[in-house]
This record gives sequence, structure tokens and C-alpha cells, in this order.
Amino acid sequence: MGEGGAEAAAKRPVLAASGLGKRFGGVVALQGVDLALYPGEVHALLGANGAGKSTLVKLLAGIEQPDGGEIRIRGEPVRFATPHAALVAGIATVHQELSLFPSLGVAANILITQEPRRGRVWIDGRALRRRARALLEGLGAGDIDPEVPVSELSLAQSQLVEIAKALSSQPGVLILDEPTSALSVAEVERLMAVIERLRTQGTAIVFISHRLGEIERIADRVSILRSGEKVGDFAPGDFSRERALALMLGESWQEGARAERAAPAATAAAPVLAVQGLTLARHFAEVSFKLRPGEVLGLGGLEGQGHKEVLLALFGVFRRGLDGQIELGGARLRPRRPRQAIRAGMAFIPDDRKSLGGFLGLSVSENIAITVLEGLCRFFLLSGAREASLVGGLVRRLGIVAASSRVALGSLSGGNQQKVVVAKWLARRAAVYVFCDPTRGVDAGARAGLFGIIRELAAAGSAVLFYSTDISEFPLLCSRVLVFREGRISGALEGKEVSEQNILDLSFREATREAA
Amino acid sequence: MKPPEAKERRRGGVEKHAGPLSCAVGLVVLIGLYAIRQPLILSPFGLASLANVSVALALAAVGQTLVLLTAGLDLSIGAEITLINCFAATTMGSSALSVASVVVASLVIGLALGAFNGLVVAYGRIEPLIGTFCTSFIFAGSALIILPRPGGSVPDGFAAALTGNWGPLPFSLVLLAAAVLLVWVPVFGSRLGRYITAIGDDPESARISGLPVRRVALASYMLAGLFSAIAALFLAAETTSGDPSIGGIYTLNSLAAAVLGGVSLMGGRGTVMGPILGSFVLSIILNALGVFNVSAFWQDFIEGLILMLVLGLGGFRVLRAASWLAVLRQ
Amino acid sequence: MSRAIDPAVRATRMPLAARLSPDQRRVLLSYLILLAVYAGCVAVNREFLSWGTMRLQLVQATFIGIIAIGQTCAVLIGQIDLSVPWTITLSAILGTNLAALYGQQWVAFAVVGAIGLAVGLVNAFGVFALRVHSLIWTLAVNLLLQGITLLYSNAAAPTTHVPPIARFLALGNPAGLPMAFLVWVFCSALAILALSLLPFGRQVYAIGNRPAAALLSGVRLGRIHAIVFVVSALGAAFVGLLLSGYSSQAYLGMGNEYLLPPIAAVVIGGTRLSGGEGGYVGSIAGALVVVLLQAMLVTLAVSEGAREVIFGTILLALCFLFLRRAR
Repeated sequence: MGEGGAEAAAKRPVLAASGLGKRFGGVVALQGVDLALYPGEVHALLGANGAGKSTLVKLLAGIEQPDGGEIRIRGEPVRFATPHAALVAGIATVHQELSLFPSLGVAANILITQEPRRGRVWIDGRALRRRARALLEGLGAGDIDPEVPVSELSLAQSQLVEIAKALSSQPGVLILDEPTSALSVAEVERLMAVIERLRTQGTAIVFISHRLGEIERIADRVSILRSGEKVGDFAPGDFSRERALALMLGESWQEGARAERAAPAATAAAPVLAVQGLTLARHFAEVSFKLRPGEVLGLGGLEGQGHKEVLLALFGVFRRGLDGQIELGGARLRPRRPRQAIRAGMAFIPDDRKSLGGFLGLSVSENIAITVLEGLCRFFLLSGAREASLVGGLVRRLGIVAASSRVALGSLSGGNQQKVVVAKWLARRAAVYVFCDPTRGVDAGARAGLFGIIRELAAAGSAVLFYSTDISEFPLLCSRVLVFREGRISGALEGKEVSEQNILDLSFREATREAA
Repeated sequence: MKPPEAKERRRGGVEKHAGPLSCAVGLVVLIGLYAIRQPLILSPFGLASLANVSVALALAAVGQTLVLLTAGLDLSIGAEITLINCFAATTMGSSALSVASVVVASLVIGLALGAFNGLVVAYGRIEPLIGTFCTSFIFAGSALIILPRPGGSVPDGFAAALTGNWGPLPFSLVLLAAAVLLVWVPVFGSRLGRYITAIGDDPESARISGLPVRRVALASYMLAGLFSAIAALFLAAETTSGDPSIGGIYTLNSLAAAVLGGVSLMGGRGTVMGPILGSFVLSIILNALGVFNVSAFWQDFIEGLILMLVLGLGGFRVLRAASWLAVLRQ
Repeated sequence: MSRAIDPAVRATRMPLAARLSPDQRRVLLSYLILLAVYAGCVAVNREFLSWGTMRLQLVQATFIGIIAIGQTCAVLIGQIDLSVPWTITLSAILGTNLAALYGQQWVAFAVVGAIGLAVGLVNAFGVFALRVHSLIWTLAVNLLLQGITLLYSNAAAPTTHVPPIARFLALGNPAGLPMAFLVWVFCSALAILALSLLPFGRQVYAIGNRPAAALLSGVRLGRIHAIVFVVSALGAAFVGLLLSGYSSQAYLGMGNEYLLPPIAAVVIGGTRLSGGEGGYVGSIAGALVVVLLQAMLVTLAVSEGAREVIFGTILLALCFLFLRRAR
């Protein structure tokens, strides 16, 4: 807990919202939420996916207008008709889905709508770059070239540009919506330092994250949302992890806690997947490993070390340049197209549900059936009965909550969408399941459910490859972890060795030696 | 990680200019081939005639580019040109005052027609493809009402002022340069140009960042209308008359020229030189056929083939991409 | 979130519009537009109540409707096919000429098949393999086809000897129904069946919805693109044959009227130009709407210019009332 909290509490709130409500069609997204933000304080919002955090952020940022309640800024009631109105009122937001323009330069992005001008009309390019550079340096990101188009930055760099953009208007209130989900450990450290500094400068900060550790560290106050309502808050100094989780998850917390237990042990069967000397220029080199049925093998390490690309390459996403040998179920595989990998018995659950995993505009049933269309045919025509029985079975087995299997995937909550993406592969009964950061942006309850599925798959004899940006997930799930550093396997951990500490150790060991 | 990133950055810089650069090279080669066959083309008169056949398309393509940058599309450019061409040819008269007032009125009409498109697309929220398709009927029909068959006239002085030459410098090129300098350069030196690129690049980001998305889209269609008006006046000068079917080819050719010049149909990427050079390449190829004793029957075949080859070459760049996901993102 | 509700309970409580899925609502809307336009036609001219007039409209709608099959599929995968006009003309001229030359009617069908296959594959190659935007690639192909047609018709003068089968398909009148309309009904049934009950249809919607997700789900993107563009070119080539039978001749530029009306039909039918949503059932209504509008304007005693203005305005009004994008 920060120290500035106690004195700040005596101040008047810079922003006070009371009784905020919002419905989308017949669905209540937010109801009667009060929130007070004080200058120089970090106010964390905690809640499962679909609890209403994003809606609250959208109301504060002027993207959506509330149906009820009011927002006051320094005591004055305000209504934001547009995002711009909120910016003018001093509320800047770093959105979860980045709001940058990929072909524009970094400087142009940071100062969009606030370009320094000469003669009120002409954009002053030099002043633009200077101010952008100053903002980036303030974030410890002076190495980002203000001229480069944002499309050429890494995700983490884009995140920093987004934060610089939010800070450019010197806001009184800064909303950070899951700013750390794309950042590596070192980058999170840097962001925390920035937040500390903004706090001492008197900015009121809203901080949203699923990582409780970060919240314990940085937040002064914490508000918990569940099902669109505020179910509890913590004043400075009395945050408790246990109580927060209980509030956040309601009854589902109990199940989640039970599901997250130690990883299953590996069986001694013959390997289903054997990779020898796999190399892809500029991404990874000489990667070799064996995967046995019933095993959950983790690929760990800091972000951007090539392990994610190994998974993509195994699934045939790279059209060329792949060297080395892959044996799947005893047969050689040279995947140049995902379809080849799928036919050989592989399944792939990607991190980006919205653009890679599912078809948000298609129905739950259509999403699940897409991998097995031929099998559902009778005389070349799709059989509605076969499809219904397949989909119905999977919906029950995974506990997918949906009004019916005919509704669009996009209308489901994030956790249920992810379950549908998994269900589509269960329909195929693959031999090897690849989970590529499946828990990104998924709340604790849905994560527990997903882990349950992975364990079930392994128990039923499937092999699982697992990659996550959250290192704490490996010990919960994996019987073995390969740690990647700069495109190579820097070490393997097995059984009891699999721990956050050991993974970090292997990820950083060489890096620290180089730095010294 | 750093070295490959630096390499990619350089490649990104080259790619931005790949369209204009390859068009420039193509243009030089074309004029060279043309000159071997017909050396007179390098004379002031020859250059002026080359410029004159290309400038109307170049103006239309620049207008189209302004709309394409916002990830929009203007299928009414040809109809706008037709309507304003017919208007100018039927009303211009011969006194200096009436010529000047008709020129100003034409430019205002161009802006108004563009504003109508902008209202339909940005405020009426109708897909640009279908919205501007509908307005093109309205514009082309109005042209037919004004001037049911080719006719009207413009004074010789007006024609000479736009199509003549001053030593080796054709007035038509001066007109094009003036249009770019007086419209494009100020627009892109101010925030409007940046916003035009931005809303095409990522419309959702633009909304969240508080850009006036609808007003910017409206402005881009209006500017396209303005360029159409200039093209229409130039065509009136070139043919010294009006023609209710004159604009037809410019809608799709302006698209083709813009794409040849490296403008992305998905919005957010493009330069001003690209579509101009693309227009010159396209126009000169068609014009050169006669010089090479190629029958006019070959014209469409060759134009289509060249377009497919150039577009296909651009496609091979994509074929090089190693990752399927990168390919699909194009 | 929401627990499963018993559908029977729901159905009795909700109004009709709310019970339909968004897709069904759009189709319903397109048929309501059709009704409104037909009512408008009748109000303008009582002739539209007569079977004779409507039969003519059905034949006209057949041409647009058959082209709209391929165009609907193309729009559903997020593409568009602008090579239709000269596919029609080339197929009509080449088909009638070669059929006359060999004195065999089936040659015309062979030409339709060959042109459909060739044009479709070239379109799909550019759009999928080379990743050129279909709006511009199919336009270039259209230009190339125009060139080929001009070169061919320059070398061999078009014949007026149209195969009788083409005349029968376009003008025949078995059992009092126009043959062309029966052909359209048959093609429509195939199209609706393929889009709803074949794996092909599912994959079309998947690609239009999220190409990358379709790739990762094992959908054969290349094959689907090829099928869609071949279907579109085949439809256009076949309409070329029908048109030559309809007007008893094949002539240059005969396809030029058929570029944008089928696209307008697809859009009025509720298929979204961004892909993934819609279907052919709506396009049928769309084709009829476009044809009725054109016919109504012909019956009005106004100049060609005024007719175009009115057509554009009505189309725009329809779009404005029914087809606005979500914010």
C-alpha cells in the first residue's frame, strides 16, 4: 500500500461518480456504482471478466453515456457526450485494446488532437517530436524513436506510447485499463515507477489488473465489482487478498480454489510429439523436445523469447524457413499450413479470442462445428441432428453458459467465449493440444475452469503444450517446463523444480551475467 | 532483437515509397521508349500533349486518394466530373467576368457534391461503396438534364490558358502543381491531413482519441469533389465543349491510378505523388499504343494486362511473407 | 450471464421482430422493401398488376438474380466481383459464334463453362494468392476481358445466329411460366442449399467473419475463394448466354448494365459488404426491387436524366431507411 494514501483521503475527490448505471439492450452492465477518486491516489478496480470494469471505464472516458447516476469533477456535475469531452475535462484513458494509429509515427500518435501548431493551423513538426520525446523519456522509454510508425513497435512499446499519449494532456485523472497484461516483468517494474511518480505529482489514477500482486503493491484504495455492482471496497491499508477474491468471485471462488492444485505427473508412454533441431531464422534455433501422452509441457520464459513462435510454427503458421524435424504420432510432419497440422492431430487455442480463436459473429454452434464439418455430413449435407448432439454434448461438458447454441459467440462473456474456442477442438479429439496464452484477459474463475479442462485432457491421454505470459500459471499446471531465452531452450525444469522462482532464474540468469 | 528491427524499419520506409518510386521508374522507361519511336515527343509540344492527356486523371486520382486514405471510396468521381463539365460548358459564356464566375461556381459545386457524398457516408452511415454508387446516378442524371447530348462551348482563351504551354512547361502541369500546392499541401500541413490518415488507419482508435471522425470524412469527400471540379474544368478546356458521358472512365481509372501509386484501399496509407505518377503511367501507356502501330483494339487488353501485372508484382511482396497471419493481415 | 430460457415460453411473450435472429430480421426487411416498392410501382402505373408486365420483370430479375448468386458469395467472404460485365459479353459473343461455327448447341455451354472456370480462377488467384484487393483486381480482369472481347470480335464479326437452346432458356414459356424464371428458381434453390447446408457455406461465413480464425480452424481459404469466384464467373457467363437468347444477338457492351445492379440487389437483400453476414434469400428480393425500380422509371414519361436522378434518389432513400451501419 502506498504511503500518500492517508493524507490524500482528507482532500476532496477530483472525480466523484454516484449511482452510475448502464444497460445494453436488456442486459444490465452496470448498476448503482459509486466511485471517488482522490488526487495522489491509485484506485484499483478488481472484478471478474464481465463484472463491469470495462463499462465503468467507458462511462468515465465518455465512450458510452450512463443511463443513470452522475459524474462530478471537483464538485461540478459533468456529462461527456464524446471521448473528447472527457479528455478536455482532464480524464485520460489507456485502453485495453490499444487506441493507436499503426501507420502514423510515434510522435503523431502521442500528440494526436494536441499537435503543437504555428499560426494556429500548421503542425509544428519539430515541437511535436520534442514534446513526444520528453513524454517518452518521462516514462523511461527514450529509446523509442518518435519518427517510427507505431506498426513497427513491439506490443510492450506500443503500450508505453499509449501511456505517453494519455499523459500528453496532463490529465487530473488517468485510467489504466489492464496496462500490464502485455508487459514483461522488467517493463512492469518501469510502469510501476511511473505510476509512483504520477501519484506524487497529484494525479488520481484508476488501475485495473487481474494480477493481485500488482494491486497489493501499488493501490491505495481498491473497489471490487461483481455482475455490474460494487460489492465492496478497501480503504488505504486494509486490503486483504482473501477477502478481495471472495468478494470478486462470489460462490465460484470455492470451486476455483479447489481446481488449482498441483500438476499431474507425466506418464511413461512413448512420445506423441518429437521435435528435433527446430529452427526458424530470427525467431528460434535448435529447439528439441519430446511430448508424451498425458503430459502438460510448459514453454516458459520472458515475453518475446521465441517460444510462442515455436508453437505457431508447429501449427503450420509459418509458410517457409522452418528447419528441423517434427514427428507427430510416429509420422513426419512438415506443416506449412494450419490445415496440415490439424489433420495430423494438432489443436491450437490462441491468445487472441477476438481475431484468431473464434468467429464472434457466428453462432456458438457454428463456431464449434467448423473443425468437423465433413464429419457432420450425411449425403454431403450438414445434418442438423448430428450437429446439435455434438454441440449440446460439448456445451454441457464444458459448462458453457449461453441462452442457446444459436446465439452469436460475441454475445457471450469472455470466459465462455474461450470455452467455445476450446470446445471446437475437443470436437476433433486431437492428439496434441497447444494452448498459446489462453488465459490472457480471462478472470480467475474462468481460468480455474480452463485449467480444469487442460488437466482433464491430460488425464484422458492427450498431450498438452502450454504457453503463458503469466509465469505463476506453470507450477499449477505443468509437469515439465522448458525455459526459453533468446530463441533457445536455456533449461528444463521437471516435477518439483517447476516453480516461478526457477523459471525466472533460468529466464534471467544469462541476462544478468551479461549486464554485469 | 535490435538488428532485425532496424532492418524492418528501413524496409518499412522503402515500402511507403515503393508505389511512387516504381511508377516514376515506369514513367521514365515509358517516355524513353516513346521517344525512341517518336522523338518529337520530347519537344515542348509533345510534352504538353502528354501532360494534357494525363492531368485530368491525375486530378481525379488525387481526389480519390483523399477519400481512400480515410478508408472510404468515391464511385461518384466520374459523375461529379461529368456534371460540372456539363455545367461549365453550358454556362461559361465568353466575357472574362462570366468565365471567372463560372470557374468559381464550378469549384463551389464540386465542394457541394462532395459534401453531399460526405453527408450520405459519414452522417447517413451508408457504406461508401453503395452510397457513392447511388449519388453517382443522381449526379450523372443531373448532367443529362443540363446537357442531353455533347455540346456547349468554352471560350478559346479559357481553353488556351489551361492546355497551352510556356516553352517546355505545359500549363496543364502548372494547373496540377497549383492544385496540389493550394489544396493538398495545406491540408496535410495542418491537422486535417493527419486526421484523414488517422481515421483510415484505425477508425475505432480515432473515435476513442476524440477525433472529429465524421467531420474529417465529410471534408475528405468535399476535397475529392473539389479535385473533380478542377478536372472537369480542365476537360472542358481540353475538348472546348461539354459531354454528358465524359466522366465515366474516371471513376475506376482514378482507383486504378491510386492503387498503382501505392495507395492502400484499406485506408491510412498513401502519398500524393503516387496517384499522380500512376495516372501519368496509365494515360501514357494508352496514348502510346498508336505510336507503336498497335491497333486501338489492343488498348483495353494491354491496359488490363499491365494493371494485373503491376498489381500482381505488388502481391509477390506479400507472397514473401513467412507467416500466414502476416499474409492475412494485408 | 443469462440462463437458458425455454424457447416456447419466450416465443409467446416477445413480439415477432424480437423473436427473429438479426439475419432473419434483415431478410424480412428486404421483403418488406420489395412489397413497398411493388406498391409504389402499382401506384404509379396499374400495368404492374398485369401478369404480362410482371412476367417481363421476372425475366429481367432472372439475369440480375443469377449474377447476384456469385456476388452474394463474394460479398459474404468480404470480396466483390467487378469482372461481371465483360464476362457476360465475352461468353455471349464467343458462345454464339463458336456454336454457329461448329453447328452444335452444346458448344455454347462448353464456352460458358470454360470462361466461368478461367475467369473465376484468375480472379481467385489475384485476390487470394496475390492478396490484391478484389475491388481493383477484378476490375483489371474486367478490362482484360473487354480487350479480349474486342480483339475477338474484330477478328470474327459477331453472328446473329443464336443457339435455339439459349432462346428457349431466355424466352421459352412452358406451362405458362417464363422459362428464365424457372431457371432462376432452380439456381436459387441450389444457392440457398449450398450456403445453408453444405460445409462450403459454413466456411464461406467463417472466412467473411474472421479470415485468420478460419485459417487456424483448418478452413481451406484458397479452395473456398476459388469456388466463390468460379461460381460468380459461371453465373455471369451463363447470363451472357441467356441474354444472347433474350435479344437474339450478342453484341459489344451487352453486359455493361449488369455491373452494379446485382451488387445493389445483394446490399438491399441484407448482405453486409464487410462480409460474414447475410445470404441469398434476401438477394432474391433485392434483385426484384432493383428490376421493379428500373421498370417503374421507364414507364414514367420523363427524360433519361431525370430517370437516373429518381433511381439514385430512391436507392439512396432505401439505403438510408434500412441499411445504415451501426455506429
